Amino acid sequence: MQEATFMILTALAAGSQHGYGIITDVQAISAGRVQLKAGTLYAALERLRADKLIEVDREEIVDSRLRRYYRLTPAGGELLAAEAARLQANAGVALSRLKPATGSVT
Amino acid sequence: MSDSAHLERRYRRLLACYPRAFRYEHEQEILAVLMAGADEDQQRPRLGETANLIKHALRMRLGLSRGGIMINERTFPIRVDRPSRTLMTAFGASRKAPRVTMSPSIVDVRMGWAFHATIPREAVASARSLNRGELRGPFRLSVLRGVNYWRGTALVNGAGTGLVEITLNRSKWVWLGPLRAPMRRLIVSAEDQSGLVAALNPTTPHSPGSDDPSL
Repeated sequence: MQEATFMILTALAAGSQHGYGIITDVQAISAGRVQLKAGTLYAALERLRADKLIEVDREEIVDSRLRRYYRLTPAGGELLAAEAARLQANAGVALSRLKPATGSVT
Repeated sequence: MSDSAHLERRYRRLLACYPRAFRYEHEQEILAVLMAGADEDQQRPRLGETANLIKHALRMRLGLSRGGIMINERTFPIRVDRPSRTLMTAFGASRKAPRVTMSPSIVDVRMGWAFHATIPREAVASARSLNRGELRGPFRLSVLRGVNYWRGTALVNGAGTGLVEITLNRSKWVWLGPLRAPMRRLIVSAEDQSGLVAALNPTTPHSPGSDDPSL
């Protein structure tokens, strides 16, 4: 899973959001490191929607413009959980191997 | 204010790079995102933003990304009998399979270069199976094949059977080869006549007698 995809799913895990909401949320949870561009975001949303990992939650008209809110589907939630567990396991291994090394240095 | 109008127009021009179906689905949303992310006095799209939009639009157009495919779309092939197919091949109208593609928001009807219509779903007032005997005016001639147009009605007919009549609640401009014409009613020969009617009228229960193959 690409990081952008992972971050989008993570943003939606907290509840439904619209496009710009996802961009600002991803920026916040990645401490400013991941800055999604509109083209990337909508290519990813379209792909995720085609794979039924996300769906449209509701639509609103704001400033005479359509605003669409997306949310995770159960399948999307499962996939994100599996990916998060995988990343956590990897990170755990990395940290446990680094610990004795850093310990001996200090 | 005029800055933002300029900027919006420039962004809109950029979004024209995207395939039509994708634009129909997402143009407003993407514009909103781009405008929300713009600086107050920004007049031109940022370089990185521009490159990113063009890259993704190209990928969709080249079929490298599935973004160009409409969501939850369903395709209904247009029925084309053998003589018509031969004729269409001769005229180069069959490069792509003639079909009706439907997404939750649009109905897209295409027969090669000869006919192309993109109709918002909400503009479809009704759809029903049509017996060939019900055709009126010049359409009466049962030998008519291919794309015919008469007084706001387009007949996109590859076989003369499986006809589905789609009535719009307003005129939509459609492409008849190189020409644009207003269309209120479309009659198309479908492989799956009852399936197409049912898909266009999601709330109307499908009547079992409507797909009589002898029509």
